[in-house]
Amino acid sequence: MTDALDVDAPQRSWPGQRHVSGAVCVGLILLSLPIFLDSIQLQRLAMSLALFLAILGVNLSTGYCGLISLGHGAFVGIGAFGTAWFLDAEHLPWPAAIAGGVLTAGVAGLLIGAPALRLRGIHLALVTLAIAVMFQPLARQFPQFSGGVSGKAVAARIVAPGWLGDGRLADTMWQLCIVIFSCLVGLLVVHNLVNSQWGRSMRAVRDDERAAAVYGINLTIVRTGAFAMSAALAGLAGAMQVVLFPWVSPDAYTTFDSLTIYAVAVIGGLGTLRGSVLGVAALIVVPRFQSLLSSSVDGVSSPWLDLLGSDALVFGGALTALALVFPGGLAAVDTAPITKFGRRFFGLFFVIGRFLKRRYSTF
Amino acid sequence: MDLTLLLQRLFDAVFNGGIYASLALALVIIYRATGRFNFAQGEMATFAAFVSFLLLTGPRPFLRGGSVVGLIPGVPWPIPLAVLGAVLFGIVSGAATERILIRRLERKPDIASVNVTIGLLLTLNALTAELWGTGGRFFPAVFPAGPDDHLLIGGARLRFTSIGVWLTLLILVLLLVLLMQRTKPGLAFRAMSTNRASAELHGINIGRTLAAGWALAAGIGALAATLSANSVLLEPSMMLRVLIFSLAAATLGGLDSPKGAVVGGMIVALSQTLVPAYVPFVGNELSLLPAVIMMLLVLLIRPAGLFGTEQVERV
Repeated sequence: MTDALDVDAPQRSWPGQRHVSGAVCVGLILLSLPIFLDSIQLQRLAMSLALFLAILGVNLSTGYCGLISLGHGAFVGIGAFGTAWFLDAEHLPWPAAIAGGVLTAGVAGLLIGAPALRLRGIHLALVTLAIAVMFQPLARQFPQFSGGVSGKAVAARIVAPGWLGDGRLADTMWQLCIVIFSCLVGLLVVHNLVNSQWGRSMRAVRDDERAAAVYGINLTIVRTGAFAMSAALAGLAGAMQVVLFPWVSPDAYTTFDSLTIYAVAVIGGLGTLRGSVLGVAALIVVPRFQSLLSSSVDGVSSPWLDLLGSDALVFGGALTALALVFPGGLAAVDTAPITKFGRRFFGLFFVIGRFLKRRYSTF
Repeated sequence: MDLTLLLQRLFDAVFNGGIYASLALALVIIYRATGRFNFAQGEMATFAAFVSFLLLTGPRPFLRGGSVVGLIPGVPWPIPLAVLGAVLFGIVSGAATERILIRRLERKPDIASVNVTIGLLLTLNALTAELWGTGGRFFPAVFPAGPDDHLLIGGARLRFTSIGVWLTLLILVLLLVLLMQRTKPGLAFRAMSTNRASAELHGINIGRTLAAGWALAAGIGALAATLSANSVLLEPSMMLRVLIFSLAAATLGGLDSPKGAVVGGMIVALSQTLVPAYVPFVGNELSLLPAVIMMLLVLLIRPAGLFGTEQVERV
C-alpha cells in the first residue's frame, strides 16, 4: 500500500502514450485471435475477458478504497439481469440496455453500500460474504428478472452490422469488439478516476480514515461513491456476459464465483491497474494451461496431477500463498532480477554489435 | 395459530441451533484470540467430516488413482470412533494451520487474514470436491434418528438427535468453561486475549497458546460438521450456509462471548424456522435472509452484540 498523500502520483487525467499504445496492442492481438480460434473458443475467451471489469471493480473498492468486497459476483449478476430485462421487456436498443444494466448495478451498490459501508475492515468482509452466499437464492425469488431456477433465454440477440458480414463468427467477432471496447472504456474511466482528486481521497480514506477526515474528506460520500462505481463496473461485466451469451440464470452467480473474482483480483494485485490486467490474464491462462497439462501427460495418470485441474484449487492456493509471500499480488512481484538478467544477456549482444560495427565500419 | 405446529417448529430449530452454536463457538474462540474471523472454519470442518466418512466406509478407492485407506488399521471404524477421529484430525490440522499460515499474519493488516482464510476456504472446498466428488453422500446419524426415536411433547416431536446435539453442546460448553477458568492453559488464553503484550511479558508462550486456540476451534468445528452431516448430505459445500448462520449467531451474541454464541445460535435457528413459516416471501430458500439482516443490524446498531464487550478505541 502506498502512502496517503503520494505527491508523485501522475497528475494528468489521460493515460500516457505508453499505456495507450500498450492497451491498443493488447486489443489488436485479441482482435486477431479469430485467425486461430473458432467461435466457441472465442466466446469462452471473451467470457473470461468480460470478468476483467468485475476484477477492476473489486480493485477499485478493495484496492483503492480499502473496502473488502467478497460479494462482487452479486453485482455482476444484477448487471446481467438488468441488461436482459431492458433488452427483452423494455425492447431498448443494446447500448441503452447495457447502460441500463450498469446503472441498475450501480444503484444496487449504492443501496447495499449505504448501510454496509458504515462497517470497517473485517466486519465488512463478513457482510459481503453473506451477500455472496445470499445472492443465488435471492435471485431465484425474482424469476421475471433472473429466470428463476431454470434460467431464461434472452430473445434479443446482438448481431454484427451488415458491413462485417453475417454468420456466427462475424457475430462473435462483433461481440468481442464490444467487450474489448467496454474493457478499454472501463480501464480509462478507472485510470482517470484514481488519478483525480477522487482517487487521492479514496487512497487517503484507505490508508488513514481519521487523517482523511481531518483533511476535510467526506468519508461517507467517498466510500459509498467508490463502492457504487465498483458495483457499476461489475454490472458492466454482467452486461457483457449477456452480450456474449444470451442467457441468464442465478446459477451463474454462486458464492464461489464471487470468491473467485475476489481471489483473482488479489492475486493480480490490489491498488494498481496493472494488477487487474495480470489478474484477468491469470483467469484466462490458468484453465488453458491446465488443459494443456492434462493433454500432454495423457499416458501418466497421477492423482496429484489431477488436483491441478481445478481452477478454484489453483486460485485459492495462490491467494493463500501470495498473501503470505507477495502481499501486493503479482503486480508487486519484483521483476528487477529478470530485467537485470535481460539487460545483461542482451547487453552482450549490444557489446558484440558495437565491436562488429567498429571493426567493419568503413567510416 | 396452531400451537402444536408452532411447538414443532421450535423443536425443529433446536437441532440447527445446536449446530450453529457449536460452529459459532469455534469462530468466537478465534475471534477472541486474534480479533479476526476464520472464514475457512466451515470448510475445515467439512474436510474433517469427510475424514470420518473415510474411516467409516472402509477401503474404497480414494483419490481416483490408488487407495490410502489400507494404511488405516481396522477400517471401517464404528461411528463414535470415527467422530473422535474427525475431531482429532480437526485438532491436529487446526494447530498446523495456525503454525504454518496464520502465525505469519501477526503484524499484517486485517485484509491479509481475510485473503488467507478465503484462499483456504476455496482450496479446501476444491480439494474436498476433487477427492470425494461433489455429489451428496449419506452419512450415518450419530444419535438414534429412526422414525420412532423422538419424545412427544404437546403433540410435537422432539427428536433424539436434537437432544443429543444439545447435550453434546452443553458438555462442550461445560468443558470449555472448566478449561478456561480452572486450568493454566485457559488462564494463559484469557490473559492473551485480554492483553497480548503484557501476557507475553509474563512469560506466556503466545504462539503455543494461539495454536491451542486454533486446535480447539477446529476440533469443535469438526464435531459440528460430523453431527450435522446426517441431516444435510455430506458434500463439499455443506458448511457454507452453516458458516453464514454461525457468523450471524456469533455476531448476534457478541463476537467475543461464548455464552453469546450459544444464545445467538438458538436465536438464528429460530429465525430460520419461524420467519419462512409466517412470512410468505421468505421461502425455505431464503431462510438465510433474516439471519443476515439481523447480523447487519447488530453490527450497525450494537457492534458488541448481546453479551460482547464494547470495543473502545483509543485515538
